[in-house]
Amino acid sequence: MRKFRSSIGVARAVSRALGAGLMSATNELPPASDPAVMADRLLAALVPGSSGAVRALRRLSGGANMETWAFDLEHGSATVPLILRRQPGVIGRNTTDWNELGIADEAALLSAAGATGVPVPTVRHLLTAGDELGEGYVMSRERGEALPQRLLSDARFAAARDKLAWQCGHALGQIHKVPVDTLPAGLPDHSGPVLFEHAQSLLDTHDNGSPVLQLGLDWLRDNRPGSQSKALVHGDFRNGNLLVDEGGLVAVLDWELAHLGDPVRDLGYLSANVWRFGADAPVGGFGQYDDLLAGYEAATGQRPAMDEIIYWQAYAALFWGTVCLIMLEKYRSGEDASLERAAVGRRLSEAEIDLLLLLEGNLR
Amino acid sequence: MSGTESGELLAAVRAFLKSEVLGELDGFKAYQLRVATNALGIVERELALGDAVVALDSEMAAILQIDNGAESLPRIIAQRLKARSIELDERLLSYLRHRAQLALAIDNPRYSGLQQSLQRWGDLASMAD
Repeated sequence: MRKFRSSIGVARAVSRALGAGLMSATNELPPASDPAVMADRLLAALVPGSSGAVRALRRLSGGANMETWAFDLEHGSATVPLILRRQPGVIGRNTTDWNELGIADEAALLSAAGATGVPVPTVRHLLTAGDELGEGYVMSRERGEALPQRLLSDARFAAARDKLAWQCGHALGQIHKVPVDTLPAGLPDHSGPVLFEHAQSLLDTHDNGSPVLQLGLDWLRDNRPGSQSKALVHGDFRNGNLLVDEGGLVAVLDWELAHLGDPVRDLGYLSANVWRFGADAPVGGFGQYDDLLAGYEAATGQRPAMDEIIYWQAYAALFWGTVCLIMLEKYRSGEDASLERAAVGRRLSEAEIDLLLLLEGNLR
Repeated sequence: MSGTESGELLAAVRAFLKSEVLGELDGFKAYQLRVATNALGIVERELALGDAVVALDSEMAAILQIDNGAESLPRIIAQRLKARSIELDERLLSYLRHRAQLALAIDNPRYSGLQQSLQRWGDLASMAD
């Protein structure tokens, strides 16, 4: 699994800006990051008596966001490919009034979704204080490719691309059907007007200099779909967060923005222009609406209306524009003074043009 | 100023990084170098198109009779939209469209939304009309 977490890490950062305030600040120091020390502790955590070995431990993600490490566990005659996801520490966290999915809840959510057939990695171990590895969990490392450009252009994914929109629709349907009473209690509830109140406060606290984002938010507020159901929403279901092999969808990754909300939001997000990566096909750059909706209908018996999908595409554009503002703020404040953060701040104009195009004909 | 122009310097640095340095790197560093050369491209395009943004803002400020001084006109308009104290008429909408097009022509001219918008709203040369 190769995956550079450029705009991907952004999702984590936005969720942190959305307010790690409720998270405990007990973890004062960043957890051990010396790979040799980590490897020993991982082995002790995963194998009683530490028989076997942890090999090829390497960090996949850069920056100050959620850490993702890959490694192989050799135990007996088996070599098991695994992933460690963990919280980096508390340095530089924002505090706001929003809550996010904690890392332990994320692990619980993966297990709950997996239990109903959603294709997800298998959680192997939730880190404990005794593991001395910080807060996080270990999960299976699934085969496949997540890099959008490769998925969209590589000939070996041609057959997968043909099936992927249907498979995504089906997987989204499965996600939206996960029984709410099996979900972790810490799952944030973003249903109803709170979503828009929060969007406004994010604009206000991130130097809202974009009339187009404000216009988009006002329009979204004034035009909320009449029938809204409430379900588990992945929140970041898009090309880039999907592991795909030659046969199509293998696993849905990056659950840190999961919440309770309007399920159609996930369909609009997946088909938002910014996540088509320059390709023409509306669903993730690889597929068509009809296939997405057919897959969704096969799983749920329901077929959301196109105007609702377009509505949530507009929300996705506002969300992306807000992410750009948040990234810019992180760069300017020095919290994450990386080149990537500075560069992402200039992608605001993508969100603006998408919003204006989507709202065209809907404004008056 | 005389001698090599700013845009030429940027173009030369960008070409050097792409042709001489990029091949030496792999993985995350190669990715970051591409981000860096893209960023230089943004500055190059802003040197060429920035005056058009300033002109567009001045024209709209005059129409709206706003003396924005050093403050950004879009920020003032954003605040007024939030307060619902400005009407979103055809002229304001046209300004927002053209400004977003110009910004995108600087930031990421290959973005598909720019091509779509050019087809629907006309090209950049006619935007000050």
